[in-house]
Amino acid sequence: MFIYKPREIFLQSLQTLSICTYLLVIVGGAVLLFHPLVLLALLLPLVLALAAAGGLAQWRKSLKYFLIMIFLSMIINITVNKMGATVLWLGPVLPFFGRFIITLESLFFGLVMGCRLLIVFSAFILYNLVLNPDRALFAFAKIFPRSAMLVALTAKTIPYLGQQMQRAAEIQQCRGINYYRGNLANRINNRLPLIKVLFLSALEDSFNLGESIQARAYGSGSRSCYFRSSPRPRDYFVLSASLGAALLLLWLLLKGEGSFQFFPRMRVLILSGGQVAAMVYICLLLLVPVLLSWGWSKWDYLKWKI
Amino acid sequence: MVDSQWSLYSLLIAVAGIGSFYLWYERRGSSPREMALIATLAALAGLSRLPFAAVPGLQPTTFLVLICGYVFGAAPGFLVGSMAAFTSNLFLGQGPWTPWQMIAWGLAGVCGGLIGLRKEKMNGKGKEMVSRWLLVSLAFLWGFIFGAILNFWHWLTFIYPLTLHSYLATLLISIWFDAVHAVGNALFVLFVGGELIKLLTRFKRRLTVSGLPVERLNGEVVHHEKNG
Repeated sequence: MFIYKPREIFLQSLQTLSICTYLLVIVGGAVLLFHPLVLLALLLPLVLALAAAGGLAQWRKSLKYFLIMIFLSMIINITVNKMGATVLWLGPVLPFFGRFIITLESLFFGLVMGCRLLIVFSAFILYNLVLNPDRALFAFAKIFPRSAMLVALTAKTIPYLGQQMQRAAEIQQCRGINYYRGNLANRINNRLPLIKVLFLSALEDSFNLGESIQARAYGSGSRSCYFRSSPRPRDYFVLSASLGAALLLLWLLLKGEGSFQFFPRMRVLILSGGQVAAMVYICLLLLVPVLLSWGWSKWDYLKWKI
Repeated sequence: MVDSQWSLYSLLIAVAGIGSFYLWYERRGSSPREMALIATLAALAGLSRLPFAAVPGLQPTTFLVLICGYVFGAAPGFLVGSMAAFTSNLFLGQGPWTPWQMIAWGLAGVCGGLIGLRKEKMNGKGKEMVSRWLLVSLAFLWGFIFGAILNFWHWLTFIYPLTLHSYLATLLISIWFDAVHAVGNALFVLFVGGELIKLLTRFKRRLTVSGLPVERLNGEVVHHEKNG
């Protein structure tokens, strides 16, 4: 039932810290910097990483919903932003928002914000595809053991309750109750006793679960650890590349070359050679996991070595 | 120049807020029974999102969290709300919305807890009636507050300039979903709330272990009561 499905792919074999750092650098870069070329340098490796994780089909599927959100936020930016100097269209006066003006600058700004939104959404699609929730929880449990236990219990209970609900519904259907016919009120009325039973049995079960946890001496000593995972060379490669990209992004931010002046008029896109070099290096560093993933699937020696 | 720092600050504050609450929970400690009950309530709240995922806006989770807070108190309310958001997203997909959903549903639980506290202090016949209608109106309001919290980061990160006009425009985009959420919440509390409160109160009583008064040989009576 999890969105995450274990597969034999390179990105899933990375440690939680490495993959989280990689994604954090991309999301952090997209949130803090909005130079169009920096965003492209972040988007390109991200899309290739999604392809390496076999998630392009899912990305395209999710894109339909995300494009609506991106389009809506572009509309807001165009509607409320009247700071641009190059007026393209003078629209009608809207109540509360004043005159609707489309400027070249606000249009471009809306597009760039849409690109940022796309990067953030795509990064989370990759996160859902490659980060094993169990491993993430294992890392999280070192700092928050009780909360990790709560997450594990809740995550285990959701599919169990779903199955219970399905089972109870099938029994009721055998008795002639139809959940899919009749008007909405009828359908809700038919389902209410089912939900009540589910609540009662789930809460009753929770007490048994609590007693079972206590009987297993939960909290009487340190946490049991059934598997240990140590970082491998691939983790060091991805971690170093991500940290390198983070440093370059920070350098651009501090130098003021990671932002772009949209209003009142757009300034030139490229300010210096150093800026272009930094963007190219950021792109190349973020491509490291993609290249390793490609090598991992094609070259057995590399797979064994890293 | 467009300023993007507010987005980062807001995210840091949100994550620090959630983190400090969970740190407090780690230090406070809780019995396995209480943990299992909170996990089950969070699972029920999270599960209720899944069948309604196809109807944008309609989420019984808010009403369930509100009622949990009302019966069990503000801290369990926050735990149930935030845990429901995080774990249900393991099935629906984590995103930039996850910390904000955790905060929004957590605060809905805290809000329910505060109403429960107020009810306990109230006396008289109208006590049940007042708290019921208060819960209905609060559930309705939370439909919009939830939307306002979730739109906040989107507004700070992707919209410019950061003015009241631009925030209202952002809210306006999701107003229909928020309205469906608000009406759904109010109807859930109105029609199912009373029964759910009774049910949860019964389980809350079962969590409280009361010892019978023990009379010692010298005639002194000792009372025991503790939460387990």
